[in-house]
Amino acid sequence: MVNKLENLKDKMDSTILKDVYFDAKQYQQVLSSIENSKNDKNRSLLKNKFNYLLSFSVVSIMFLGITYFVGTQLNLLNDPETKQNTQDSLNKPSNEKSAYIPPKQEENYDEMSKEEILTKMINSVDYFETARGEYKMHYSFSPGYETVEYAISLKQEPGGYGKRTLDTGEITSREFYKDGKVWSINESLKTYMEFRANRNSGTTLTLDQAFSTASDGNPQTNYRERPPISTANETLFPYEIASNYTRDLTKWEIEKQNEELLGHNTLVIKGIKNHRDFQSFRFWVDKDTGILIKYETYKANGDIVDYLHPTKLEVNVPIDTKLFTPDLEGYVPNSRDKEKVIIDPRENEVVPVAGTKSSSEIEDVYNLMKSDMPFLYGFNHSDLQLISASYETFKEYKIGYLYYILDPDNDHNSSQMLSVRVHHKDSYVRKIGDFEIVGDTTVSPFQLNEIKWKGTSLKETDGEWVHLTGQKGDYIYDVVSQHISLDETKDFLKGFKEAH
Amino acid sequence: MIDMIDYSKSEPLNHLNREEKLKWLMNAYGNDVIRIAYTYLKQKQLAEDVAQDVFIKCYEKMDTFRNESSYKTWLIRITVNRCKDVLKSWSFKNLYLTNFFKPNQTYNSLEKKPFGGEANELISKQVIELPVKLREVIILFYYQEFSIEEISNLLKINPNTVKTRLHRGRIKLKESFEGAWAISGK
Repeated sequence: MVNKLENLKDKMDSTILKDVYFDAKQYQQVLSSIENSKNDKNRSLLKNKFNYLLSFSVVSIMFLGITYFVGTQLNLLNDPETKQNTQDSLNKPSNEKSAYIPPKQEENYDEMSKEEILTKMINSVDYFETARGEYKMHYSFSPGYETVEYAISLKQEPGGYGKRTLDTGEITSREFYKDGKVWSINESLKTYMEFRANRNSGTTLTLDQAFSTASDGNPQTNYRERPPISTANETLFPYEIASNYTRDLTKWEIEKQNEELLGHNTLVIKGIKNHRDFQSFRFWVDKDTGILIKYETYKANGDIVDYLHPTKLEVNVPIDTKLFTPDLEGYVPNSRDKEKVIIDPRENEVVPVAGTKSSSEIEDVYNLMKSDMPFLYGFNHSDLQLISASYETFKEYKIGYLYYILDPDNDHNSSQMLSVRVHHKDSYVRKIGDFEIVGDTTVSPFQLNEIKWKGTSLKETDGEWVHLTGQKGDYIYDVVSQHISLDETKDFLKGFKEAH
Repeated sequence: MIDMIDYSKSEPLNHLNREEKLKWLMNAYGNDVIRIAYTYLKQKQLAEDVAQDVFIKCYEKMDTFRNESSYKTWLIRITVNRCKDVLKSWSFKNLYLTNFFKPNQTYNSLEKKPFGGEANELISKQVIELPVKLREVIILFYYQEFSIEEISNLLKINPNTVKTRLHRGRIKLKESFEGAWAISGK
């Protein structure tokens, strides 16, 4: 047998798992969910802020109203010059149109403390409006490097594009972002994914707000928002790098306050990092924006392990937003909608009322079912543990499901189960696997606890399945046992009694 | 470059940001996660949902990963726990069993079809039909090639229990495999 289990991975991957793989769509769905959850979080923060703002506004308007009234009464607000100036500014033709020119970036030569530069790194999104650049990135575990080109606009016409190219010249991926839409292009497959990303905004985080410790002792980090394309994150929005390397202020030093790099004034950080591949690092951080312009990690002997080496970085320059729209000619959308098969239209009329999603809810759901369903029956055997319960309705009928596990080892890993469904004989019930089982051996009818039982059983390699259907008055009781023999099931049925 | 990495031999670096690291992990271990999930839940759609949940959770918990185990072990542990939650949940019981545990589709198929087919398919099906607690150790040991110690750590059970279950799993497979071949007349 051991020989047959050798290369099990190949055997399973080429047979029953051959169609099971993590594809681009799931990949994108994960990213979209994360993006959406960030937006939800921001929305709730915004809601709180809005409430404060509303209260503040109402008070301010009342105050200004009173001030204005008093002012007009005392002739204090009728200055003719002021009036004239206002008129002039309104009549002045507007020349600022079309091309948006962001304010010029001013280099910062002030002395900065550790706290100040780290705060800027974790809030870099606040300190520039546009950026365009290119850098080379090398990871120690892979030969060669990757070239990343990008352009991003944060405030005026938010959008961006990014491209990753191998040192062999092969383009691996491209990303575009415009008007709340993101396109992610896989160059080797010639496919693209398109999804919506709401713009979110946050507020500047202090170090204490960003870096904290959870109750279990693990570090916890709050991150700022950034555009929904990831191409230039390592350099423009280095939040995670700052968190992983510099959150502990004792592990790094400011090596140099001012060093010029590609026309930017940077602060140089040197620190230690206990990593299996390298022991120290050096960062060049733009002092006016917090952008991580360059980084290197080093072995103990000083050899460079990984690096991000910039070749170009322009901040607050006008950017042609046409770059943000992809040309999708020759690419096909990568989307496979999940198939939904409705077996019976009546399934749509079944309404879930309550169900257990976690073990803590079982008692509540079970109690509700007991009070609402006088016909409910359940097992009261000490070896059977109720692990799931649910309550649904079809029209005026109530339907109950109880699932028990037989777990003698108590390791929560048993496959021995008893499933119960109770319902009125005229009610429709959904097609559910357990209760659809029809075995190949007929069970002789019998009666227990005023219920007449009949059913079938099925012997499998890993145990027996039994499906028994009982009737008492107008109510039907389905009991399905998984990997429990017929005799054992009958034994358990002795304790199948009215639940209330 | 990401696409060129031999993921089996490396782990994402600390300085990758969360999104990049997540993408790296999805590329490297997406298939492992979804396939492990499938071996527990036996339903593709559900395995897909679990895989997505696992990576979202992984993103949320990225900062708590302390390099005490490999990222792969960490992800598989999250996957296993998530699958067990699903197996016990009301929604699984009510919604997802529909497509799988139908004797006509799955259980009888072993008796009717595969004996003339590939041995690989037969052994794969026998493995996936083992009871969960035997199946998971067989999968983690032979499919994922984790050590007994790693499995013990991952499932939070005693190493001797892992050994016992592996032994019981092998015996069960031997019985069912020999039985299957006997029925098929080979």
